[in-house]
Amino acid sequence: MCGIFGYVGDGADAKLLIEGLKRLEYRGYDSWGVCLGGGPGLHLHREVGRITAAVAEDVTGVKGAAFWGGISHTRWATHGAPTVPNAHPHMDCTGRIAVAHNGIIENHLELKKRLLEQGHGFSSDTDSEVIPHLIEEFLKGSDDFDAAFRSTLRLLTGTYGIAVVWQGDPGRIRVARMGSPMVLGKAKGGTLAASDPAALVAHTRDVIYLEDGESAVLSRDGFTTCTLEGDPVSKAVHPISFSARDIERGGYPTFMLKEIADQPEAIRNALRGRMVRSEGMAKLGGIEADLLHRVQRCHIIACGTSWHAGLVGKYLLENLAHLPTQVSHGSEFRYANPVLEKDTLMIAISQSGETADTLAGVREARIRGADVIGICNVVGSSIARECGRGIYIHAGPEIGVASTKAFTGQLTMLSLLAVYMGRMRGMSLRDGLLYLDALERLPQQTEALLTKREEVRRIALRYAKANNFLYVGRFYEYPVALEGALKLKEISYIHAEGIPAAELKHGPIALVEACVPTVVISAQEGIRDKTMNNAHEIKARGGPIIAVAQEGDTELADLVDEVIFIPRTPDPFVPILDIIPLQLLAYYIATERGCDVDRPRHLAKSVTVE
Amino acid sequence: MKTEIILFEDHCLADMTPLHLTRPAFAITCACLTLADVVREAARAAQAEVRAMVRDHLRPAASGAFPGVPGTDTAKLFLNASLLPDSAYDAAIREMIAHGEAFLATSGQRVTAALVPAQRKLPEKLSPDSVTPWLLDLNLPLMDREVFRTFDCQFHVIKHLKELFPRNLERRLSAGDFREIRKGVWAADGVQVADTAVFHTEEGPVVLDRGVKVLDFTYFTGPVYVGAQSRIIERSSVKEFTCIGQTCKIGGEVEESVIEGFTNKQHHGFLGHAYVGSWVNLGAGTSNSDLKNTYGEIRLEFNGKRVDTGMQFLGCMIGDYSKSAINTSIFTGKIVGVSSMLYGFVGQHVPSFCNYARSFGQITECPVEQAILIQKRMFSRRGITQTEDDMQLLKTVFDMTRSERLISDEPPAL
Repeated sequence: MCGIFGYVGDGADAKLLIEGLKRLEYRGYDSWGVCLGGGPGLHLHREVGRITAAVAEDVTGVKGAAFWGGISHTRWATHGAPTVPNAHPHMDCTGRIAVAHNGIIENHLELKKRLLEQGHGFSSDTDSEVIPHLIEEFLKGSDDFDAAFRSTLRLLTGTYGIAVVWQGDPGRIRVARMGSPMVLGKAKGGTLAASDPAALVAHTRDVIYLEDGESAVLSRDGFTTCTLEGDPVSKAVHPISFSARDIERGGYPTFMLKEIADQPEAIRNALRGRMVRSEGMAKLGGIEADLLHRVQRCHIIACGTSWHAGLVGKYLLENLAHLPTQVSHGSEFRYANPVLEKDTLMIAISQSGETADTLAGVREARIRGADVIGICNVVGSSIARECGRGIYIHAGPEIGVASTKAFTGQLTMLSLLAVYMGRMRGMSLRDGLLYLDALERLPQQTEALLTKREEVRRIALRYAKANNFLYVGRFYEYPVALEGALKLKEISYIHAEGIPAAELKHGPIALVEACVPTVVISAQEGIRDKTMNNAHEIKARGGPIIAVAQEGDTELADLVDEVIFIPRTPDPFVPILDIIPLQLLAYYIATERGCDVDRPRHLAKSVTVE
Repeated sequence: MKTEIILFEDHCLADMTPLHLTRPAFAITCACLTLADVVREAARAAQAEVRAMVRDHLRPAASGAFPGVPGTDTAKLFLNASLLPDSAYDAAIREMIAHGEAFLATSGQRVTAALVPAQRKLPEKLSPDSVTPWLLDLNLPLMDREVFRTFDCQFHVIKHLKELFPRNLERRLSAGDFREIRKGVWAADGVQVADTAVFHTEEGPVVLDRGVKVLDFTYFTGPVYVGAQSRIIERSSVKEFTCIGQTCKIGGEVEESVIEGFTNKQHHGFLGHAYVGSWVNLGAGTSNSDLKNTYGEIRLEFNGKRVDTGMQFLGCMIGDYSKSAINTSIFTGKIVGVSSMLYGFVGQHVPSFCNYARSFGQITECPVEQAILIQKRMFSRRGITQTEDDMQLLKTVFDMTRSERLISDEPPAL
């Protein structure tokens, strides 16, 4: 997720672009850049880190320069580390075309290869840089920029929101959309485009939303919209009714709720370009196949929510790829004098990529000669750099302290890794295809689950006064029980324990009473009857039960006090769906108790101390 | 809607070496049938045309069997050319055509079958390398059961022999014009059987196809199939689960083996749990071992990997056109390539186009020109004219297998 802001019209300058960009900083903040048009050409200025107050002199080196407009971009890295060369806008070889891009170009390697053969030079590691070079290529022997722009768009596979300026046509900005948002607005004396209305509210309250497959040409006096084939499209104007702050959170009252709602897109982004149906196989670009071929066992290190993802990862790797897998807390691994056998693959999981305990574990493992891969959200983070290879989950910035979309992104990535290694190690083509199909359905299934928000909220209100909760699940759903309990603990300050369902009878069942709700997580096919027995044991002792069950499990629904159904999916992927209602349950209980869910007490988003 | 059957080779044939080098995968015999036989039968019943999609060098052979190119307005039933030649598949294929619903079926790592609706246009260049990804990309409904199995390695031909034999032989018997000449012994026209021949058919019939000659003091234990115009030499012993192709001469002891057409094993010597290609000549005294002294499971190493066969008995697997000298002894589970010459003990796999005389310290490349010359001489003995395609096939396979002969510094080995 990145943010784009563009303006053409009176008073265009760096300050105006940067003000707009700051409204989009929640979409990414590892690097940024502006490109202004005016005077003799295009003027580019890019920096790493949070957006600072650049002025026209920073951009052009000339005081008092006049500009007709420009584009800007705040980046959340997906391809290439956060560096100045990787920051947007990107330019073509001639420096006459500048492009800001939000999204992922899946076929960028193939396009880049072709462009290199045609003599183009690249200065970044990004997927986006192919765009200005492609336009440049199509412009050779022609001055029809719109045709070149549309021809370029037709070659791109993946997602994009794009803004382009061309020195040869001052006073115009071209934008287009495919899968990544693009909003246009008309203000007095100028026209704007942005990834989000948040960046436009200071200038106008009326916007139009481009749809996928549409593009627009912006000039001082307005804009025209058309399809990628060039056919005109008329667009409806929508008034903006939210505050700027609301819009940053996508209209949600908190970042946590927004990020819960972001999960279908986060899962989609994690899967994007990584499923090769023509081979019944996953594709993980950041890891050499040779390395994974020789792996005989895995060792996962992580902390907190990522550790819970790691526990699911263990079951995934052991069951789908027959790889013995161990999971350690980052902090414990480092001091436990770990024995790492030959051909062990270390997998470090961290949302921020800065978790100090996990980072220390990665360094310890490397000293001991292990191959380490990282599963991180933040591109170019310390763990990603230390590992040297890995997979990014592409969940976009996670601002709420309680991790939500990063967890489902991590689970999705571990599922892909397990399918990939499983197929390498004898998983049948048929199973590979079935798993890929199931993964592909997850975003829609998650969307369907999110429509149950009100239902979960009503349940939450009924139990918000409880002071203790138990969460139980078996096999794949045991780590979900741990994560569900952690979510409740960290944002509502209610004591909650996650327990393997069968372990209840070995002690914790003594805690069951009418004022202690138990969340029974039982949506797997394989082990459902056993968990059902545990639910009976709880009911027999007067404990109220909130169940997460597979659609159609009326027997469990009849037994328990509350039930939230989740759509059917193969058992290995059940945790990805299970966790959604548990996040919502924790969220609504916490808000009912008046807790600040985005900034819970005593906690920090990224734990960079040991 | 009319349906065409496309028998396609896929990208997973390397482990069939050397059986796949000189013949399309659908032309490998197991239990007296090839897949081509099974599909032809099914196609006839379903009134469907059959087309073949094979590797370039086998196109002349394949187009001889299944001429023509796929039409543009027909549904296509893609069948993997490596499917087991199981007569039971006949009914399954017919049902798929009659049902007409699009589907994709897999087995292990391979697509085994797919019914592609007529609306889906075939890409201009569909090849064994590209057909599986193309079929997978069509997103056809995945069949919920494994309908077909495939030959994935050369030893699978022997592994499945016993299982397929009874029903395939039954199919042969019911499809041909045979009469019972002794209890359990079925003969087609022109069969001559010596009075002194002994047949044990308690465990299965002996089926002798057109013009077969069974000479004196031969001993059969069914089930056995002998192909048209073949000759079983005096005092030979042909035991259960053996199928012999057309125009072969067989002597000595043969057990649970597949011998393709035009092959001679005229003299004494044991052949067991073995596959022998076409135009092979095994010299007098040539024997293979099919059991390790440890009685353990046989493990094969080829193409850079180790494969547990799960079999206690496995003899040799010999490619087309190879020859053995007198008293050649082939160790358990050895693979012999195409057009190689064997002398003495064969304790290793033998690449194609090799003079393998390791016991005498000599392993040299057999020039393709010599192989072509021998081919011509053998063909003429059977009244067959050597064609440009026949010669080109050997030349191509010679080039394809060059790396086999270069893999080890010395001696050449698979």
